Amino acid sequence: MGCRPDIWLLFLSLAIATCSGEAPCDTGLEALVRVAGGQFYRGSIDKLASSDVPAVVDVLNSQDVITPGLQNKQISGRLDPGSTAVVIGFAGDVGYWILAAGVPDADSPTQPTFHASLSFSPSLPQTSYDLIVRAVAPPNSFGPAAHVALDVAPILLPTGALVVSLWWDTEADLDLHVVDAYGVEIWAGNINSFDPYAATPTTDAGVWSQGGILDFDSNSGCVIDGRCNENVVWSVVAPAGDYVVRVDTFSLCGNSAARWTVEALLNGVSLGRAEGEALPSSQRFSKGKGGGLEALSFTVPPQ
Amino acid sequence: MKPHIILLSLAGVLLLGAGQTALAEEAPAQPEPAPAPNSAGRLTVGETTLAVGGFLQADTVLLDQSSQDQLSPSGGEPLNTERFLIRRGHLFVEAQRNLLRAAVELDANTVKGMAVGLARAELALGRARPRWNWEIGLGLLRIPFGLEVQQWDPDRFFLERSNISRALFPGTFDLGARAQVSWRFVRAQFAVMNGNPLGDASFPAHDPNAAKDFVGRLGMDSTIAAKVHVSAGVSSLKGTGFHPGTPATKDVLVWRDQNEDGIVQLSEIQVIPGRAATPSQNFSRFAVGADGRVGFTIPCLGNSMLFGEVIWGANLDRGLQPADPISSGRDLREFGWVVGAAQEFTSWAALGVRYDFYNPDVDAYRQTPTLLVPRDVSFRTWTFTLSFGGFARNRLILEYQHNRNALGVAADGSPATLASDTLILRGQMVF
Repeated sequence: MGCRPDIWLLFLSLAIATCSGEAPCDTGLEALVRVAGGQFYRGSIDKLASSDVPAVVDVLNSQDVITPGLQNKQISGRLDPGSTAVVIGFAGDVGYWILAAGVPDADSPTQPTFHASLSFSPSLPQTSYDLIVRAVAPPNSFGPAAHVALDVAPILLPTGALVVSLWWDTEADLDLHVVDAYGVEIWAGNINSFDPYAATPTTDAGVWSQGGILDFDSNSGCVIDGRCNENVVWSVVAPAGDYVVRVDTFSLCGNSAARWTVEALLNGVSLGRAEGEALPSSQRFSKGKGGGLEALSFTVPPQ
Repeated sequence: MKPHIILLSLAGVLLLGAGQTALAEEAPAQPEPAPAPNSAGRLTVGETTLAVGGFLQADTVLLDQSSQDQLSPSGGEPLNTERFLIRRGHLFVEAQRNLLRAAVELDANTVKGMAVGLARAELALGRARPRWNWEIGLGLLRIPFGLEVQQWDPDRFFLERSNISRALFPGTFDLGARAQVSWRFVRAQFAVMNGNPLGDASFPAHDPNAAKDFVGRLGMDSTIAAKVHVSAGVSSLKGTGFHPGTPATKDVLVWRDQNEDGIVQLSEIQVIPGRAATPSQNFSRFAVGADGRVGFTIPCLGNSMLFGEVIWGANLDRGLQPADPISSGRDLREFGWVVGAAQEFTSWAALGVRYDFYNPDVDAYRQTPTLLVPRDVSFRTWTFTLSFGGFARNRLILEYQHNRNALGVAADGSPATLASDTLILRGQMVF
């Protein structure tokens, strides 16, 4: 939230009468779009008083499709001569961002530039957004809006005959372990249950993909990737029998806890779901093969 | 370093010599600062005299414009500062045996969560006589520079020191050796210290280089007329700062999804070559300052106090915006000053106002789209303080700080003040 509208502040500011022109202390984490290095102001960007100049000459944007939680999306562009800053924000958002203009490019030496690194709220609703960019010239002259349409695409879960998914809510290193019907454990140390020595000899080069495959070791070694999601997927058919799913709290990476969810989907139908919380005490259990605490067990019927 | 100190010392001596005839009455010769508050309990065992005491400062932050109910995106620590906290809780023991004196002081606070640590630990040899004192000490000692750094926390009328004092001296104690002499109204102090005081942003209470900081103050302290007390001095610091080196790094393969299609393409893969380790480097730093304080009593009203301090420095900011000329490629010159006044209205209440200015980089500049222009990065603070209990050590203090800075960005991209006014209520007791 922004600067506290305390009655004390109001009283004292009036008494001293020197509080005008201050920038608020606000991280802007409630905004749907955030600009790295920008100054956040509350208010609607499309309601700022507008003038004809300065204008945004052009905006360079690679992709019009974004996903919730996307980080470091780059946009850049050029501004009319005399511009000193650029205002960026979603139409209708809780606030907007001010970013100082940069030096002109060599090929257009009179036009200031801007380079913005955007990130988006993980709770971004799936719809289309109007990203507004406006050039600013002193004193507080906001030029006409340049519009960039951005569509939010859902984060797609992997598809397959059998999908076992683990996802969690903090930047911790949790590991998914799945023991299949043959007793083979799939985890970060054995990402594919397919055993070429046990399989029938074949000339099919793609036979390895018949196993259950771990798609990603998220936040491995506390190198945070932001996914917080791991899946083991049997793309064609899963062996019939009993499965066991374990969750290993490899490290909380400095977080106090991580709330996790495990779910198994057979051809899109849930076979079971479990939720739990990883605490610092969960880190002391053994790691590697056989590690983790049992979270879910289910049976895949013969197909 | 020596010519620096000697010149300042000579200037101080000349100043004092000129003003000596005006001194009607010299104050009792006391080492600076006072070794222990009067309220300390004392116990004599054999030849040893023990003194035990302390003080507590408990704060209620009623308003802080910079406070937010969020965690810091970088460090993860809470950004809310509107809270109850223990600012300082000190407990000390002092032992005196003949010429020897030893003191240990602990500080407990909740400024950044619960913390308990050493605040002072000194071993001193000295003799106190009516008009002539000397003392040499070793340990964790108060830094002999200026006025605010040497004030005992409960004696300071305002809640905290000014910006320049807190920036250049993030802590008032450092490890080292100190000699101090007082003769009649003359006060002289000199210390050799590590240069990384408690509160240092990089290496608090450590010393990453062998070079030491040399600090000194030459001043006077006297009662020049009935109920008029004057103190003044010049201070200097010459030292060596430390720029940390970097370890060697490995080659790293980086994928930058430039067209944002989520697919790895050869043109999007970059190799960031590893880099050999870089050595740590030392750099020189200094500060000179002058300070003055006048205290007097207005009949039927109460005590009054005026004070001021000015400091010039280079590469010495260790707290607010730590100076590193190796990283910045140029020396960072600091300049700041503070003036203040306080007036008692009977022994029940007192009102004070203080203005302080601090520029951590006098030569700062910023790049606009087409020009490189000078940038004012100074901090300016108005402080208004209401003390219930006058100038006494046991009192209730309400303080409003109006802060101006250049940490925010205005709508046109120019620097602007980032709102950070505060209103704090403090209860303080010395025991």
